Amino acid sequence: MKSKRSPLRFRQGAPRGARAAAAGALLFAAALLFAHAPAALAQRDLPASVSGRVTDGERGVAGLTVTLLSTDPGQRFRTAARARTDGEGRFLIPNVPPGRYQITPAAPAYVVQGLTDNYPPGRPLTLLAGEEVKDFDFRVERGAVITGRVTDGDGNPVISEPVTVSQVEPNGQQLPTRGGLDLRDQMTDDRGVYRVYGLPPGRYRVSVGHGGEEGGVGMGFGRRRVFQRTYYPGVTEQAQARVVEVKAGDETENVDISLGRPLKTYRASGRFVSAETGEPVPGVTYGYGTLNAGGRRIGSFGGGQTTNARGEFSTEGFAPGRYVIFNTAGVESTEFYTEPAEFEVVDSDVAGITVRVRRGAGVSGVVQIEGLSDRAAAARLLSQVRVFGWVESGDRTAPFTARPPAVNPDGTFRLGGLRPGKLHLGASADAVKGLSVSRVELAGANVTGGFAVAEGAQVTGVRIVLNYGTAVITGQVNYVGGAPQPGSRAIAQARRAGAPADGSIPRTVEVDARGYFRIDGLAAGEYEISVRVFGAGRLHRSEPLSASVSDGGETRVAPVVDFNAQPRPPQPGGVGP
Amino acid sequence: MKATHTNARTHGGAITSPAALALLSALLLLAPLFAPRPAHAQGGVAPPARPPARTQARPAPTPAPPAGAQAPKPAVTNGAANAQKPARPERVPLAGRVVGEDGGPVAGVNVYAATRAQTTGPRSPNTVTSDEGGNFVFPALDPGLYTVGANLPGYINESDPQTGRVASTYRPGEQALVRLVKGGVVTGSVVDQQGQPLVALGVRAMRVRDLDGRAPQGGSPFSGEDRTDDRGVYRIYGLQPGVYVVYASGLQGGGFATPGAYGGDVPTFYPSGTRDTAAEVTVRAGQETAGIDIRYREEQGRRVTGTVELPAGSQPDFGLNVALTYAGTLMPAGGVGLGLGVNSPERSFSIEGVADGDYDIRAAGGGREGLSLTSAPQRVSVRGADVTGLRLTLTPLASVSGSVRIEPASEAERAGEPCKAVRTTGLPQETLVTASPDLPRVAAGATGRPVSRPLTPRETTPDETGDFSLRALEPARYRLSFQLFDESLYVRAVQLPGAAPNAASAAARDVFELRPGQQLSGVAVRLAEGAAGFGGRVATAEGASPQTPPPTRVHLVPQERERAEETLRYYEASVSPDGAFSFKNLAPGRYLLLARAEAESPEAPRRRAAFDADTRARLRREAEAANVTVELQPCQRTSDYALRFPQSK
Repeated sequence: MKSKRSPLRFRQGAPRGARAAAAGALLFAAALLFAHAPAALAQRDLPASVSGRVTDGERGVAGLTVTLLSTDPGQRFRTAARARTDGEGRFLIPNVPPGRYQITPAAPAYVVQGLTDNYPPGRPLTLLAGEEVKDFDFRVERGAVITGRVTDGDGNPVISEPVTVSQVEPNGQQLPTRGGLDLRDQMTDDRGVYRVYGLPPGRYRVSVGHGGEEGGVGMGFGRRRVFQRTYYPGVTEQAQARVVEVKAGDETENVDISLGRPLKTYRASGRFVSAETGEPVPGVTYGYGTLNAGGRRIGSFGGGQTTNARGEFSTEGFAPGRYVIFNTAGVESTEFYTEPAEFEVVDSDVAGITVRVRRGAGVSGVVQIEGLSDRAAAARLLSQVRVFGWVESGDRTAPFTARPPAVNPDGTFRLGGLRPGKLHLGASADAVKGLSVSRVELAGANVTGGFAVAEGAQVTGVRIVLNYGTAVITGQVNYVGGAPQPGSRAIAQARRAGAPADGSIPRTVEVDARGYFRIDGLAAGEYEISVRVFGAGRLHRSEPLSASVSDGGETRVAPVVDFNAQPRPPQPGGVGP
Repeated sequence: MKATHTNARTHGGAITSPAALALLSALLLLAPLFAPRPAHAQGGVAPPARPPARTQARPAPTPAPPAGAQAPKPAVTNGAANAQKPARPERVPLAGRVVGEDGGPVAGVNVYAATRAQTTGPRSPNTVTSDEGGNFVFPALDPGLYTVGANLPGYINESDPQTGRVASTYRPGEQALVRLVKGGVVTGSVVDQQGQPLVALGVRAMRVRDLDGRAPQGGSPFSGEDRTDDRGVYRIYGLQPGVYVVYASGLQGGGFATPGAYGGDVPTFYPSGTRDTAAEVTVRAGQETAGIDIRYREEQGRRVTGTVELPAGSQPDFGLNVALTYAGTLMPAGGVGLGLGVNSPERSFSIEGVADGDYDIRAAGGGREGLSLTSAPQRVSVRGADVTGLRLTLTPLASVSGSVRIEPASEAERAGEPCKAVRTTGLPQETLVTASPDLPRVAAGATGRPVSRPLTPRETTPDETGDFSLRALEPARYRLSFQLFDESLYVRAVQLPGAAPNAASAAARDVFELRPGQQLSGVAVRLAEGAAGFGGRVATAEGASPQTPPPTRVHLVPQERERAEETLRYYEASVSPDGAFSFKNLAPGRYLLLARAEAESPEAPRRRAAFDADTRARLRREAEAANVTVELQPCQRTSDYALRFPQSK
């Protein structure tokens, strides 16, 4: 692919010698090219266009819709533009506002090559004002189809049962189930028939049901029967599963699975009592978690039920396994949490479970916006901000229950019912262009990385600071000594210059296939820009660059990623926002 | 699924979190927007919320609690009247059996028993699983009325042919029977204008009415959905019998596999048109209606945008939603959720993919207790351009609450011969209390004020103390009605707060006007022991003109002129084809009997003749002219009355 008329003329960001000379040193002023004045906004918004061709082998694929999904704040997953491919597989998407997008042919029956692993599926594409991106081509391959019928022990169709199709490596290792497929596409119909399509060529195990090793299965009410995980053609041992091998465009029929009887399920019952008084607690909204063999909660279900006037709960439909019961964030329970209440279902009902309810800690504070002097505008923005928090506690069975509290028009908020532990606070400002979370403070100290909340404590004076800005940093990454591997991801990051590493939350965006990126909504000031490329288990970083932006202005940078440099192993959890 | 990349908020109107989905589903008005997936499509989660249109004959009480059930506790006795009652334990089992079409047992299915408060509120129903023999038992249920049904994907609970109602109502101690039959199937394909199959496009089936022409239960026509596969084929199953429209739409089809591929398109109704030109599809239980092929129109729709304003000081706990429906119906045409934990004084919304036509739009907000705020519906006409700048102002919904008390029969009544053998076991919580919008009968063909959205009745059952509360009522004139599940009880009086407690004058006390946000409390409903039962057969008189249409309704009109305005003392019953009719839960007294041939309209629910002053007066005139009187003693049971027809002398 090539850009016929790139409006950017990037210069190499930093001399290589400098990088070698001072590892980790900041290179100020290296890439500050020019900054638009606010008057140039109109030009900044000139529409762009994308064109290209979708091919299957040599042949163009007609009638596919190519979509541009915006990944800009407030526009997430909106289809910004789309076009159908013509008889030759060509598409042209005109009049696209500049911004960050994921572009993909919406072709569920095909396997699209070269998509990154993030959501929404597609390839990142940063469109600059007025540019015409040409030859943004996609190669697709007709996916394979596996279809069959699922029957129960009596030969009757098993209806509305999800079918799992997992890819098997040549060495027998099972890859995780591919994401992105809608569950409905993989469910048996009223005849027990399923049809999974769009599969990449490969070897697959096909199974239905739930395995004990995956944790307990609670059906709750209104759910289907529970079957033990059974592989095609009808075995419960994974090793005995018959592997189905498919090639591009293949349709493999009669991959029928016969299940045994549904697992017998049991009832769990008990009551919620006050940890202080021992009195029953009526009206508690509760839910369940499933625990794996190691006692870690791996899923949740239920959550709509409440204890009766006697504080009692009772739920039917538990397959053998380990569970935990807890209160979920309901209106009446926001000030409370429950102590861990685990139980195991073996081969009978479990009665007499006692769940102790405690008054939780509370945290209150204020959300403030920096960089916006207009108070009315700030209040309007604040109304769209939501605060969230989660407690990192020693309790591995604890649910994620912190209910997002309302932020009052004056920015104040309060979270209650917190269990003791390390509280991580944040705010979602996604919906508002220009807002980003800068840091969290408690009594003047920076606690962006979380802070300890003691049993029943009432913490006040928390400040969540948001930045508001209208500046933009765009960039093009120069790759030296190679190119990113197919399937790798590149992330650009802007961090306030001079901020301590753990003291402020950097802004991160995806770098597109052309090496372009665009970080908008920045407050005026000095930033440190860096790019990381993750791929094939390796991490390459650019040297940090410094860039200065002004309100409403745009600054362009050109970081360098050198593939000849010593790669670093990726840090866990280090990818993206 | 990659859904984990999103959180419990909404993005562009797509509800992305199952929890949010479940909560929002509870917002009854907007249920069509957030309806469950096909797996649960068949009333899976929410048991039917429609009352029985008539009192059902109850099966005989279970002689003994099934094995494993908790032994009945001794009765609680307090007061002389209660002391005479037979033992009625506080919590007893409700047992039953799930059978298939052939009458054979259905094992391992989820059975629910839900009180009315559970079906309309946040309390979840009791559930059990049927055993190998199809048997189930709810070990200990509080007294009350329970809707009992079963969930099995692809199957539906057999509906009552008389009422179209799906699940039956039982009291603890009774033996329930749940019959599962295979649901109907609609299948076909979706192709573009060039005949190419369209993949992963959402297809929905909406039930317009049942096979007898009645409107769908619970108001929502949503019945099921699917997405086309790689061949463009869809298959929607587990459908209730009825008449449907089917459409393909980008709104739901833009799921995780293909975000936005068809977003913003207008829905294409089978075969290839708009709602106005949609062909109806008849679906029967256990049958497959194939070849419902849709030629997709690939037409970009218009946008309907505006803002929702909340009243000062109010906050929906969980969600705020805007729903667009086809004008004058509950058929959804689009909608958007405005997120959870809403705290903004003003919210903007945008609904995409709207075809030209007339719609109603309204906003609603609420929380765990259900809806608490709605806007008045607005008519929206889309004509070739976006509709912008709508303002939907939410106002609080009203409520009505009160109590149901049972008054013992008087000593004199009790002394009478018929009452010696009858003792009530009825409890207040076994009364179905319904608040129905009281809309005057509109003559056929009359073009009255357009009702932009049909109001639906709300119903509940009292708690163990007899108190009841009906929430989320839109401002309107309402009428309370009661269904009693014990034949020995009748409604003696309904007193609104402030009214004189005059038992003899219950005129129009069951009708009231609710203003926005009004919380009408203190409605006293007095039930009394000693109800009469009356039934028999209409005998067409010899020499009657063969042109005379057969009677369809029998009316009881209070004979005393001073009771002429007491609507509670007017009763009516249908006449079966063999001429039989039957009344229950009658107040003792003297009545005029009248049989009439009345036009039946399946489109509109029957409105009782006594509800409107003019029809009530005509009823009385006709009954007085016919001059057939019966006197019903307390506890009297008559089942063999012969009523001559025509009644003219």
